[in-house]
Amino acid sequence: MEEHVIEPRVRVNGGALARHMGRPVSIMGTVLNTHPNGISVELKTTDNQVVTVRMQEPFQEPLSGLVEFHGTVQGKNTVSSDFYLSFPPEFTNNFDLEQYNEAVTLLNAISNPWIS
Amino acid sequence: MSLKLTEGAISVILAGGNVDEPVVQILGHKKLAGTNTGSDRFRLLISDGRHLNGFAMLATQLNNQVTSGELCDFTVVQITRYITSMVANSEKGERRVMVILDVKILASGNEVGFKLGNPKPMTDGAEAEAVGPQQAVHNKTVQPKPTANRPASNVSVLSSPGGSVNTHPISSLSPYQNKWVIKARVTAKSPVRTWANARGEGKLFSMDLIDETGEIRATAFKEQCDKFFDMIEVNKVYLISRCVLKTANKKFTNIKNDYEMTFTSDTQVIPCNEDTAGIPTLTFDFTPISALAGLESNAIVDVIGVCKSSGEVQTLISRNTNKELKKREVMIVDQSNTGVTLTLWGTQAEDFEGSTNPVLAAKNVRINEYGGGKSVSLLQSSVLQINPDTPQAHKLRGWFDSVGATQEQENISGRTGVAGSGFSANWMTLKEAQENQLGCGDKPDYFTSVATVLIVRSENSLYKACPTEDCNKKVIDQNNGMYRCEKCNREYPNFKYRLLLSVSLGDFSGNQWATCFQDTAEILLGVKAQDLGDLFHDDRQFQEVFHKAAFKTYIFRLRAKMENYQEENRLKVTVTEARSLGTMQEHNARLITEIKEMAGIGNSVPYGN
Repeated sequence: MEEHVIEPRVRVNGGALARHMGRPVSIMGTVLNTHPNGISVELKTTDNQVVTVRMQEPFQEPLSGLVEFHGTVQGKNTVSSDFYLSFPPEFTNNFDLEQYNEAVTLLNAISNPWIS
Repeated sequence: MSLKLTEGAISVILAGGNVDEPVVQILGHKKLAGTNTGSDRFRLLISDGRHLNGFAMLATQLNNQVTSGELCDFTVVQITRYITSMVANSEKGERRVMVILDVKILASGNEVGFKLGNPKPMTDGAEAEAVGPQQAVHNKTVQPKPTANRPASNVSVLSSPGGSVNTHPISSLSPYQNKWVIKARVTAKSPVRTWANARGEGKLFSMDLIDETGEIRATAFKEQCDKFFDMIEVNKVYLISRCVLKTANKKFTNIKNDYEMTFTSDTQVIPCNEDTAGIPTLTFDFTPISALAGLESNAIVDVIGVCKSSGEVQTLISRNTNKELKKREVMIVDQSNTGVTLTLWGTQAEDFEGSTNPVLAAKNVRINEYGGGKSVSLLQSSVLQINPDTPQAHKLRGWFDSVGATQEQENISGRTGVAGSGFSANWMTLKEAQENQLGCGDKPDYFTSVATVLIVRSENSLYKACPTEDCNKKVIDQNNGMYRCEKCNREYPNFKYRLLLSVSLGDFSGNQWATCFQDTAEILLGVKAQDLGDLFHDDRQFQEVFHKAAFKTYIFRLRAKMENYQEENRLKVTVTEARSLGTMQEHNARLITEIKEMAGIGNSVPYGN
C-alpha cells in the first residue's frame, strides 16, 4: 500500500517565500490589484512585500481585502495557487496585521516541535 | 477669725452628692511617690468638722502648695473645685475618692494651730486610717504592675468636667502602667455586635481614639458596652481612664498602635469640651485608586474619590447569618484616572444620594477581589465622609468638574471593563492549571483560559428553585401543587427554573469539567433557564439546545477550589465568566510574548527550559 505523504503547508509572509522554493505554502495578504486577465493578483503581505499570485482558473468574483492563498512557491515573490479563501469585511476591518506578521515570523523562526 | 467648716460636706460628697465650695481643714498629708510621669501625689486627710476623709487626693498642680508649707496641717481651705471618682478597692469593694483641684486658703495652719471640731472617721472604717505608713489595702502606687494593682489615687473623672487634670499621651499607653487619663477624640465607633457561642452570649462595640500623639483602639464588652454605647459620639473628645491595655490584634484594625485597650468596670469616660482644638480630627492616609489594583486582597486602606455613578440598592441574604443585608455599589474615580467600585451597606447604602457626584472619603475599607477586578468595601470599622471640607476633597472636586466627569476612567473593578485587569489575570492552559494544582490551597484560585465547550450534560441541568427574588434554593415538591423552600421556610404554588450545568471544557492541552451557574449557563446554551424549562416536554428540542452548545469557544474565567464534601476532598472548578472571543488581540499578544520568552528571542530573558 502506497503511503500518500502530504507535505505540510507552511504559513509564510513575503520575506519567507525565498526559503520555501517549490514547497506548498499558505500566504495571506491584502489585494492590491487584480490583473485584467483575471488569473493574476498582486498581494501586499503583512510584512509589506508585494507578491504575485497566479491562479489556475480565472477568478469568479472580484477579490478585495484580506485573502489567503494556498499554493506553491515559484519564485521569490511569486506563488501559483490552486485555492483561495476570501474573508468577509468584518474580518478585514478587525484583523491585526502586525500581530499576524509577528506570529508568522515566529513560526518560521522557531523549529516546530510537532513536525520533526 | 471665725472659720466655719462645712459640716457634713464630706459625707454628702462621699455619698456621691455635691457641695459647692466646702470649707475643710487639712489635718495631714502623705506623699505618694509618683508614676512615671515623675510627679508625686499628695493624699490629704481633711475634716469638715464632723467627719474625716483620709482619701482626698490633691491634684498635682497644687503639689507645690504642700511642699511650700502653704497647706500644712491645720490649714483651713475652701475647696473651689473638686471631683470624685469610684475606685475599686481589693478588700473593701468600691470607694469614692475625692480629688481636690483647686483651693482657696482661708487660714494657714500656723494661724489656726489646732483641729477644729471633733471630726470622726466615716463609718465604713477605712477613712479612719490616718495618714499613716501602713495601708493594708492601698499599695504604693509606684509598682508598674498591670491591673492587679488598684491604687487609691485616680485622676479619672466622672461627676463634673475637670479640664486641668494631667492627661497622658496616647503614645505612652502600655500595659505596664495603668494610672493614666487620656484626652482623645472618637474617630470611629462601631455598632454593637452581639454573638452567641458555646461559651454563652456576648456583646461589644469598639471605637478608635486619637490625640496629638497617636491613635488607639478601644473595645467595650457587656456591661460597659451598655453603659457607654449611647453616650459616646463620634468626633467628640472625652477624658478616658482605667482601661486594660493589651497587645493589639492587627487583624481587626488598621490603627497604628502596638496596643489596644478594653474598658473595665472602673473605666471612666467623661465628655471634655475645653481645650479640644489640639486634638486632631479624623486623619486619612489615602491610597490613589490606581494603586489599589496592585495591593493584596483584604488589605485595609483609605480612599477618596468622586462618585461618578451609583447603582441601585440591592438586598441579599447573608449565607452565614441568613439575615437580610442591603448594599449599594458606587463607582468612585480620582485624578489617577482610575475608578473603583465602593460597596456601601445598610442604612448608609439606602440613604446614599449619588446624583450630585459627591466626593466620598472612606477610612478603613477593605480591598476585595472577586474573581475579576478589585473593589473596596466598607466594614464595621469604616468611616465614610461625604463631601468633607478638606483640601483633597476640594482638589478632587475641581478636577472632576473640569476634566474627570467627561473623561473615561479605567475601572479596576473589572466586571464591565473589556481590558479589566482582574478578568485577564492568570492565563493558563487547562493542563497547566491542573499541573499547578490550582485550588488545592486554602483559598480558591482564579485563572483565565481560552477553551472550547466539548459537552454540556443535559441530565440534571435544570432545577426548580424558590420563586422569591433573591433566594435560589432548590424547592421540595410537596406533590400537592405546592413547593417548599427550606430557607424561606415557606411554601409556594410556583417556582422558577434555574440552571446548573456540568460542562466539559477542552483546549489543546487537556480538558476540565466545570460547573456553570445560571448566568454563565445561559450564555453557553443561548437560552434562558425558564424557556429551557418550558421545553422539557419536547425532548428533541431540549436535547438540541445542548447539542448546539458544543464546540463553541469562549474566554473563560475559572475558579478552582478544594471542597470538602461528605468527608471527601474534591477539586471543584466553576465558571465565573464566559466571554466571547472578540478580537483575541490581547490573547494573541500574550501568546507571542510567551513564545518569544520560551524561545529566547526578543527582549526578554530566556526561560531555562
